[in-house]
Amino acid sequence: MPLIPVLAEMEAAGVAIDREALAKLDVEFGAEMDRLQSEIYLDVGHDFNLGSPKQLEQILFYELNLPKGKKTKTGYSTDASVLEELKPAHPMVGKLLDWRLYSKLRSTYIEALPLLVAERDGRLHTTFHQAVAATGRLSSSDPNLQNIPVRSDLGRRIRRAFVAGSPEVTLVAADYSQIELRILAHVSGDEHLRDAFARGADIHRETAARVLHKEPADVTHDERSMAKMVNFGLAYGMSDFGLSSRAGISRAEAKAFIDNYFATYSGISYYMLQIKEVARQQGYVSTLLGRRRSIPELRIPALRSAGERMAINMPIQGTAADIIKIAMIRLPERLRAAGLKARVLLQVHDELVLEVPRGEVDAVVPILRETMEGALKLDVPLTVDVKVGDDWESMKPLTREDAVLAELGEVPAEIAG
Amino acid sequence: MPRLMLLDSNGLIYRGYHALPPLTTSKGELVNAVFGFCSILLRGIQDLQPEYVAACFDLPGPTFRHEQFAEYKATRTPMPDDLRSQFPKVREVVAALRIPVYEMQGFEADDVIGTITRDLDARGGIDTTVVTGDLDMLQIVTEHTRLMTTRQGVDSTIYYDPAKIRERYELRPDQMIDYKALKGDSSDNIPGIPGVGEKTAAKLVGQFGSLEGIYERLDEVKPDRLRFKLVEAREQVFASRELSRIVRDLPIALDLEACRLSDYDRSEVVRLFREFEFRTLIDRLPPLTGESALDAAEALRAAAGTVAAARVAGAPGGPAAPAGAPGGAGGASGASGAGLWTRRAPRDGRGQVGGGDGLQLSMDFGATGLGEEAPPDSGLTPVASRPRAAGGDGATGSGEPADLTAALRAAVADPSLLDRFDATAEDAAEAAAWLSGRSEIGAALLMDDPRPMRGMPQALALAGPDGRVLVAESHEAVGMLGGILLASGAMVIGHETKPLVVANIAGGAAESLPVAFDTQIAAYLLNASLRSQTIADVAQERLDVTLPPAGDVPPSVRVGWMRSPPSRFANRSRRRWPRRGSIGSSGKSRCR
Repeated sequence: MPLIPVLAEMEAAGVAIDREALAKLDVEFGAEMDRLQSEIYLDVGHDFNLGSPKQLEQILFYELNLPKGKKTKTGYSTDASVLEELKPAHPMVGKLLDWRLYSKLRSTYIEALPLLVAERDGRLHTTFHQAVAATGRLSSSDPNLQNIPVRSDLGRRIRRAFVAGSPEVTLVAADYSQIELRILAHVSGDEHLRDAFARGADIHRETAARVLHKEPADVTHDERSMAKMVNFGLAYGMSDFGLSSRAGISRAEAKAFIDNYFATYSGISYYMLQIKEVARQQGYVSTLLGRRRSIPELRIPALRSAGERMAINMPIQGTAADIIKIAMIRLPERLRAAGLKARVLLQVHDELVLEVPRGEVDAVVPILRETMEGALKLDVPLTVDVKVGDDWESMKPLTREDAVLAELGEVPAEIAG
Repeated sequence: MPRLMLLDSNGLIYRGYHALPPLTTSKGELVNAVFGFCSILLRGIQDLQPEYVAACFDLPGPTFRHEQFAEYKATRTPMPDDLRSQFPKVREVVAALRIPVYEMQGFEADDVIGTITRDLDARGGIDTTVVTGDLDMLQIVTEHTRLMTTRQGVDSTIYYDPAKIRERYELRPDQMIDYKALKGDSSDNIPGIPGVGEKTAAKLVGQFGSLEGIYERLDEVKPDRLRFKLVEAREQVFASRELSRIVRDLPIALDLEACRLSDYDRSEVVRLFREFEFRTLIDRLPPLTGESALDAAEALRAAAGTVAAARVAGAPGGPAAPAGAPGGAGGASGASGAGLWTRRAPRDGRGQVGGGDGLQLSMDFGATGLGEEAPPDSGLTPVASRPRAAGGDGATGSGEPADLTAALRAAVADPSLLDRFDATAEDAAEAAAWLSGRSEIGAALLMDDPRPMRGMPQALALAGPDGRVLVAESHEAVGMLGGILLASGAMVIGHETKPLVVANIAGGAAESLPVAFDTQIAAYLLNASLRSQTIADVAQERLDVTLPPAGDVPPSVRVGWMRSPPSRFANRSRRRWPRRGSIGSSGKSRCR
């Protein structure tokens, strides 16, 4: 509840939108879509309506004779999951998926954002919802900022339209680095994970080294990225099947990697078993700060595995949400106490975006960093990478540490997307 | 001149039955005639804005016409059961609307209406509109009595006054029975003269003035064939005319005062409309007067249930002990809120007031008196600690929330209990005094758009446990009343309070509106898995109370039913409730 006035201030402040950037993006996206469309036409051999699932069904399953998947009421499904599987089978499928993404982003953001701008101040005022997401994360609407794909290039380009409101101010973004893994290290008490964070090590390289019994220096790029997928995928309940298809390895290899992972990080395996048991017994799980989520799904056999994933995930994601909320409540007070005019505009995922008068940046950043990193005392340090820039896309890390942290914290596109 | 609306109920019911597709409820009951009747009744009220309404019915059983003319309506098949079963439903609606019914054994509704209008025409001083499903009553039309009927289903209406009759038939109203006797009417089994249709009949009556005129000057009738037919049918046409002549001297007198459209049993009407599943009809209802104010009061009443939810949510031992009052609470000092909730730039059009999704509301129970008792039937422990306004005297005001709820209920049921707040110094001083004496106040704000910085306040209602409900309707009045509320140091307790806080910031207030408790957040903390945490959802889940959906509120909430200004302003005629929309146009703006 103390967050209400904070969110109200953020909503009232809104964020400036660069209409020219959007117009440029519209042209760019349009050109890309045209290019993809003509390539698809070439691949298929004739023109058709890319937006029509019916025509697409005809082409995929009857002209190109690709394997049919799920059935819908009217025929075979052409939804994203089906196309994702068909991707290796024909070059047009990947292009079609890209085209769909362009088309989606164009209609939900590039075309919609100008319409959402309030007349009175020319800014975009999103609405934040505290009581929607069951994990405790904030969500937003008009527009839904959470849905801008952060990790893909296309999504980043959308962020270009979110700009500082005047030449006198700039944007400062602060993102918690690997906050969920850090919370996992804390709640599971896993010594290897804690140790790695305490040393400030490259956590994914470390993971790969431990699981594959190698020296960190010998870990290849592919091995590191596989470890990264596992580190991030765990909380999402990633299976050996999921890992094999994402990392492009056999299912047996994936299974071996995951088994080894749990053997090495025994604290994590124990936490996962224990939290499921707790959830079963008390019917709910809670965050470190005591916020609860009941999980009735565990009592329904068909939903049990989904329920178990929630049980594992919620204390971690939920604690991350609690932490950023604490920071959000304290931050405006501290900025005001320091006599600064900087204000928080947006909160997305683990990131806060502020609008800061240029002269204040040096004063704001330490307060911002300290408030976010000190929001909750964990057994492992919380770290924040801070970036500055005049639009939300082209933000520059403030320090070398920030740059390293930003790279480490990057969720693989396969998972985040 | 005051207006009376007379309903030819049977005609409207028949019309609905035959003109509308077979609408049924989910239980399979046919209700198309009931729908047709209600639809045109409400349309009439909206278009005509009558001060008085009465309904006339046929009674079952033979009428004098059957006795005098064996053939009368002889071709009619017996009433189908699925039409017969709709009559009691119509009567229920009429009763719930407290519309008096006039009927007389042995006579049709037409005769009752004919008698009443003749009497009123003689007395003068009132304009009457007879709402009917056919043109049998054109004969009673005068300068002060007109007919309203529908074309094509029940959607478009048409009015007949003497000028309109002249335009269409080139006849006077009193000539219509002569015309009909010649032309015939298959539905009443009036044969007419073979080969004489509308044109010939109208020409004959127009030329000779009446049946008598025609037969007196028969030799002038050309061609011969027509003359022969007239001679042949002489007896029949005079008999037919008597058959369709409406009786106008029954021993019936209209009690005009009893017909005054005012208080009615709104909960019963809502119940009936729900039972018949007339949601679209409800939604289509146009605003009459003061709608947004009463909507705000109604929203407030609905929200009152969540006060109990707040108590439940704050139960000790739960994960969501209420947070302490935010810093600076109660320090909302001075008149800093002068700009509160006021936005000058008018939006185009009226927006969608009362459309459901534009509704934002909040409650303020002053934070000092949440009440001690848990809701009697919740079985939950009472709140141990309550948020208190800084410097609050700790007065608990036990029992007051219940009184407040009762006040709101009463005000919504009887709009004359609403007090209108105008943007005058006099009202402001009075409101400030009233607010300062309250330990808790309910508040509801109605916005045309719930999105931050885009919505405009439409109405603000405040309710006190003393039973008073104060409403402000113009932007100016809302801003002023909001400023007074803020300056009083009140703290907000409510459901989804954030839009209120944003509105306050948007209004340029220097002080943030202090929120002491938000039941939506509390409910979310108790059960985060509930996808939607609206007041209705939360009241249902926590209190097992079903709130009326926003879209259902309007029909029952028309202040239009209220004809006398609020008592406090009774002697200030200038301050009538504003009448929304003008005849004929207001309906369109609400049609979706």
